[in-house]
Amino acid sequence: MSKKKILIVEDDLDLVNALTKRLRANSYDTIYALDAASAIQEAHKEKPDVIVLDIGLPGGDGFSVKKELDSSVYLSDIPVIVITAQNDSTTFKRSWRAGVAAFFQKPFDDQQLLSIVETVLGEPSLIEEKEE
Amino acid sequence: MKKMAKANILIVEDDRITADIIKKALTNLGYAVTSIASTRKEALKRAEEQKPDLVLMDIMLKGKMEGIEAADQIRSNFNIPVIYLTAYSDDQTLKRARITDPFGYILKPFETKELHTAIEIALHKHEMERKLRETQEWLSTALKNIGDAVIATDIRGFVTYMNLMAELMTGWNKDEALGEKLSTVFKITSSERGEKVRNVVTDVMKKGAVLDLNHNLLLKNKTGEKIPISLNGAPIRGKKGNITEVVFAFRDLSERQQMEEVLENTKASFHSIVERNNDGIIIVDRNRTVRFANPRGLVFLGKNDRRYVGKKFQYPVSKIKSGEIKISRTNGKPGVGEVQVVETEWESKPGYLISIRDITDRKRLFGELEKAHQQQIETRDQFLSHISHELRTPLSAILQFVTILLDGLDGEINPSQKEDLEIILRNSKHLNLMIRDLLDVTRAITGRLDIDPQPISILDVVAGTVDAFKRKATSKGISLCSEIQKELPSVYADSARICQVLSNLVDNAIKFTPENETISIRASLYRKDPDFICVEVADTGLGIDPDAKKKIFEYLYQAIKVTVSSRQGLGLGLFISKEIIFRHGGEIWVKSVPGKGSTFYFTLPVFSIARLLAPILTSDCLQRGFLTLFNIKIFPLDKPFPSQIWENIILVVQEVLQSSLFQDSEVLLPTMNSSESGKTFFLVAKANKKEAEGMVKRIKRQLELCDILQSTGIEPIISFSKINIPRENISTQLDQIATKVMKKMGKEVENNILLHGESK
Repeated sequence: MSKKKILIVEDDLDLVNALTKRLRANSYDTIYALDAASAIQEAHKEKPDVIVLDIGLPGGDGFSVKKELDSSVYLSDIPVIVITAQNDSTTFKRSWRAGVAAFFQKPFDDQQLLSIVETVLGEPSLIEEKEE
Repeated sequence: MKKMAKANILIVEDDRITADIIKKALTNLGYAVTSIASTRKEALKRAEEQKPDLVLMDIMLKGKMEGIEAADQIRSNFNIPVIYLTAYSDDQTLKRARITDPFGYILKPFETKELHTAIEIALHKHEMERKLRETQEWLSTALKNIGDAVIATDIRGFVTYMNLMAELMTGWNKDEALGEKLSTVFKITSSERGEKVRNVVTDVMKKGAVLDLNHNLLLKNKTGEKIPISLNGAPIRGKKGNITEVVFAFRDLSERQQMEEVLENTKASFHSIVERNNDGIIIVDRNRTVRFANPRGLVFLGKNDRRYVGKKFQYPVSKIKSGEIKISRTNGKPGVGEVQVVETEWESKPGYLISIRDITDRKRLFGELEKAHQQQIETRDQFLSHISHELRTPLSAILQFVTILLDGLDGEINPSQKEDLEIILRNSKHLNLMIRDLLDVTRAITGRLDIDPQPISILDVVAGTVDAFKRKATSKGISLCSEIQKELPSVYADSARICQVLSNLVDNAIKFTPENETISIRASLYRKDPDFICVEVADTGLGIDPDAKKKIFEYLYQAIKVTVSSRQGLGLGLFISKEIIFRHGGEIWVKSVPGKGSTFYFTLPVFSIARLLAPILTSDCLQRGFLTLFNIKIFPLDKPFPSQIWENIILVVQEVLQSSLFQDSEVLLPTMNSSESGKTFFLVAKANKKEAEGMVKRIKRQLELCDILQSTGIEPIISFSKINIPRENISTQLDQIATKVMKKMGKEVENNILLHGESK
């Protein structure tokens, strides 16, 4: 089975590097985007298995990215994990309403993030089993 | 005449035989004869004793004309009518007798018929006279005591009568006034021109009827004082219809005039106040018909003439005590009017006084002020949110790379490097907590510190905090011990927030407690109010200065008193703790003895379903007599999920349920229990079966939209059941209803919700 691909959407390059290092150390393939527009572009091009999405982004926030993803037949099924520095209940609630798979606040615990990624990636097989 | 037949009659006759004949005749006629007197003296005596209705009097007694004298005395003393009996019809005798005004004569010898007629006429005349006299007496008394002054004159204008009030007003004594010319006693002038008013008597006589002389007259009394009066004159006519007297009635107007002047002035000033008022004033009656409107009121309501009076007021009046309506302003533009309605009386009937004030400018100003204020708050919030965002992002990078190094992802590190990295990690985490505090303070100040209360076990929170601080305490040789009362009920609180408060208190306690001492954390039912639980954190540290005790919960207190070297942090902890506890409806305080230690206390409300249900238990709900309880179950299809994702799923479902509720008819009960094998949400709604089915569809549709449920394949199972509720008073039944709801929720919940005993 090939490595699962994770798209990191984050405007802070240091954090992108940290996440890349952490996820690659756990045998995931990673790609990244530094703004909303390139995030959509990358998603279309690379068809990632999971997207780790920051909310505060240049050129449209994370919610607009999620909305864009949902409007595409090819991308709407990709689970999205939100990681944000915004700490208010509005962002939290908006994320749930947008239908994200998980929500993390910066700074986050990488072990928890890894376990979520693992779970989210595990799910499609569950659904397939059920459909059979 | 019949009823007079029994009249008692006294006979005065010195001739015995004549007397007997008369007596016999009278008896035959049906009269009673009281006695027979033969002398004047005897006659007077009998009349006094027996009070006869009539006396038959012989003029000549014992050869003298004593009868006339006796009759006179009887009449005047006892008011008894007298009929003369006489054998003398000569002019001399009759003339003398007539002076005494007898009631009749009978000439001897007489016929019985004559006697009868004379007696009946006399009795009748006497009766008439009596009645007349009574009437006269009554009239005279009335006139005397009447509030109006009364003066009567004869036709030539000489005073013949005046009553007490007339005496008082003119200053003339009745006795000296009688016989005087009216113009002497009763001097009147026209108040306008000061001219004397003459010939009132002639005027009345000319008119021959009541004359109203009511135009501003002044009476000049004996002392020269001028009194404003109103005057009426009327002619009194004699038997033949000719005018015999003129009566004047007059009344002192000075008091009334003053009152009228005051009233007039008041009316005028009120009128001008009302007319010139900047507020619109409308008076309507109970039927909302406009009875009065001032000019400004007409403008505000867009009516430009007074014909508005009598029309219907366009707004429902009895319902608004105060409120706002659209008005047209004086410049013709639309605006906002503040309406106040009070009950009033208008022309002695109940109605409403409606005042309308143009508050367009005020509203705009307030609006702008509010907007500016909101903007200020938003700007500050945005600024802080921005700062925290800006601080957190590099902090995240630091933490990420420290852990990357610690985990050896970039190669092996030696123990000394590892130790250094752990110090960086610890300090970075501390920095993160300070950023959180900074944000919390701003939120507390702007009232945006959110809490998400759930039924939680205080035991869990205490245990978690003790665990977290065990190492820090042990390193200082301090022991942490907790005493939790057995079978303590759940509290309704935000677990993370209470953990924050408790951590802050324990952290402080550790800072101020010397080595090898003990910090106790206790929780028990609050003695003063069993609806609360009280948590205590007691240390044996430095204690707090009494002056400082009140201030330690204040904003930035610690930051000012930076001299206390052992303190660290921003000093925001207690302020935030206070805000968090207040937001829960609890209280926080401290008791301290300097040098001996401090104990911090805070209270939290005991969880009660009753309180949560209260908002939807309105009268219509009680009238229906039932509620509907929904069970929304979610569980993993295959194997249990990792805890992090399972918690996320629960949060999503809860958020979706919460956001799809209708606040006034549906209540989502707090999540009580969660296990890896499944989770049940409870929702109570005012719904009948059909509505409930609709709700199930609605909730399912909402949940289907959730990505995480789609991707995990979780399908919620929703069922509902009816809960009958007593149709009685809410307050007394609330607990009863809550118990019923809980019973329905099942045993699993009951155990968790009611008691968090030591088993947990």
